[in-house]
Amino acid sequence: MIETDILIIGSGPGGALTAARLAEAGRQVIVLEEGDWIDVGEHEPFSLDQMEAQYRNAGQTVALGRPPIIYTEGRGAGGGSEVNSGLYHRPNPELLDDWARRFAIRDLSERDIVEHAREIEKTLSIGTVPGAVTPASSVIERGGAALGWATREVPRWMVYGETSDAAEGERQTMTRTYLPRAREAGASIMTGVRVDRLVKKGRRIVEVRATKRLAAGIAEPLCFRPEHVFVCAGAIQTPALLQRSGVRTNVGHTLAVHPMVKAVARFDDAINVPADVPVHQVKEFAPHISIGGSASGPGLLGLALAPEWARFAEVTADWEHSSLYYAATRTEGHGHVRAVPFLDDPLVTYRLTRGDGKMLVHALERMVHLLFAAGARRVYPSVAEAVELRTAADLTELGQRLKPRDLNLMTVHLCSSVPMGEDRSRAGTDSFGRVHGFDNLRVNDASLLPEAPGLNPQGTIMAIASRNSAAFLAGTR
Amino acid sequence: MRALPERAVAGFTDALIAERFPFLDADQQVSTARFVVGRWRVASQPVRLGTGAVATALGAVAWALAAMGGSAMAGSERAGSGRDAAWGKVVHRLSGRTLPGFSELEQFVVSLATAYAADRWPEAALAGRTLGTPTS
Repeated sequence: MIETDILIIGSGPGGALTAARLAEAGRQVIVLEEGDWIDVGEHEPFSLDQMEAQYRNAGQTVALGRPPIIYTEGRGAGGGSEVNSGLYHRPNPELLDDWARRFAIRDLSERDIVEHAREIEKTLSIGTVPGAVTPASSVIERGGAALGWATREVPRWMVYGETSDAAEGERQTMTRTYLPRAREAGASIMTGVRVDRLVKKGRRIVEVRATKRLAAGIAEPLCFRPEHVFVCAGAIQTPALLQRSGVRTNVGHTLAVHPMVKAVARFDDAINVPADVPVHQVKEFAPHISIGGSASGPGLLGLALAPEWARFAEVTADWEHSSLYYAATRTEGHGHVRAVPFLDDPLVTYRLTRGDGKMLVHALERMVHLLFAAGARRVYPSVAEAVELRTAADLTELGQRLKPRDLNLMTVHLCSSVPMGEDRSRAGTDSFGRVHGFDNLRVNDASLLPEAPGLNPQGTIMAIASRNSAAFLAGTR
Repeated sequence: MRALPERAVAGFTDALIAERFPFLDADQQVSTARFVVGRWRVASQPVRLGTGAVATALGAVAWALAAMGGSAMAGSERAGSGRDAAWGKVVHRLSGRTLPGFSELEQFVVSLATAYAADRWPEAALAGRTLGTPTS
C-alpha cells in the first residue's frame, strides 16, 4: 500500500499542470501514467511509427455512429501534448462568460482565468513563427485573402532555432515543461501504471487499485491510499475509469467533439512539409466552423483518398505538391462513453443531428472554395467514394448528392464527458472539478469543459486546470 | 498459435489486399498485411470484437468452401492454398458491396493498408497503373 497526499491519474496537459502546481505548493504528489515516457524527437512527428508508440490503440479508436467518427488520443507521459499540432488559443472571454451563465459555473470570467493563461503562455513559450510559415500554411492565408475571409496565424507552444524556420521549431510539450517542473518540486511520476478502479467509501475515495506493467505479459498489482485523487486521463478514459468505479452521475453522457472533414489539395508548387502542420486557420465562421491544415505525409494523403487511392495515384506519387486540409465544426449532437464489463476499453458512440450533418457538408464546401481560391489545381474531398474536383463549380454537383453519412470523419478534440457546474442535474463536478457527492475526488482535464469550444482546446483546458488547482490549494490549506 | 478471430482477420486481409492492391508486389502485399493485422491486434476492444466477429463468420464460409472443394481434407500445402482460394472467392464476391458489418471490416483493412502502402511506397499505385495493372 502506497500512501500519498495527492494522486494524479494521467499526465497529459491537465494532469501535468496539476502535478506541477500542487508539487510546487509543497504537496506530496504521485502521478500515474499508463504509457511510457518518450522524449520529443524519438519518433518522427505524425508518422505511423509515432502513432504506434504514442497513440492509444495505435490510433485505432472509433466513436460508433452514422457516420462513425475516428478519434485519436495520446498515450504516454505528456498525453496529447506530445503528438498534437501545438496550436494555442487563449480562452475566449465571451465563451467563458457564456459557459458561466448557461452551465452555472462560478468564477469563470476572463478575470478569473487570465493570470493562469499568462503563466501557461510563458512556460510553453507561446508565439508565432518568427520567420516564414510553411507553404501549406500560406495556402490558407492566400485563399482567405482572395475570398475576403478572416484568417489568422495561430500561435504555438514552440521554440524556434536560429533559422526561425517554421519546420525547425521544437514543441514545448508536457515532458519538456510541466512534468520536469513537477519532478523538480518532488513529484513522483510512475509510468506503465494503469489504474483499474477507485474504491469508494461514503463520500471518499479510500483506495486506488492499479497494475504496473513490468514487461510484455508480466504485471504486478499496486495499491495506493491517497488523501486526494485527481483524475486527468482525458475525455474518454476519465469517464470510463469513474464508471468502472461506480461513479456514474452525469459521467460519460455528454461527450462533445469537433468532427472534421478533410480534403487533399494539389498545387503546381511543392507545398508539403510532412513533419509539420499549417499554422493559419480561417476564423471567418468561428466558432461554428474552423478551417485549417493537417499533417500531410504520403500515408495520410493516401488514407484521405482511401478506398480510391489507386484512382488518384498521382497524389501520393507526387506528394510534395499536395497537402491535407480540414474543416471542423461544433455539433448539437453528443456522444456517450460507456465502460463495458470485462473490457479494458470503453465503448464510445456519437450521434450527429441532421443539422450537424448539414453543417459538415457546408463546412466542406467552404473549405473547397478556399482551396481553389488559393490556386489548387485539384481537390479530393475525403468522402466514401472519393472524387476529383477540378473547379469550385464541380462542388455544386457533388454537394447536391453528398449525404452526411458519406463523409469520412475524424476528430482529435474530445471534451465535455464530465462537465463542471453547480447544476447537479447535468454537471458531473462542481465549478472547480470536485466530483459531486465526493470530498476528495476531482477531475481536471478536457472532460470538464461544458461543451466543445470551437477552437483548439488545449489552452482552455490548461487554464481551467490551473484555476482549479489554485482553488484546491486555497480551499485545503 | 493465433486465436481464431486473428487468424480470420489475417486470412481476410491477405485476400482483400490481393484483390484491392494488385499493383503491390508479393513482398509488399505480405508486409502490408502484416501491418494491418498488427494494428488490428492493438485496436480498441470494441473495434477488435466487431471486426473479429465478422471476419470469423466469413472465415467459416471460406472454410466451408474449401472443404467442399476437397482441399481442406488434404492436410497439406494444398489445404492452405485451398483456403486461400476460398478466401479469395469470398472477398471477390463481397468486395465493394454495402453490407452491415462487412463494409466496416473492409473499410478498416483498406484504410490501414492504404495508409501503410502509400507511406512506404507512395509511387506504387501509379507504377501499377503505368504497367497496365488493373487498379480497382
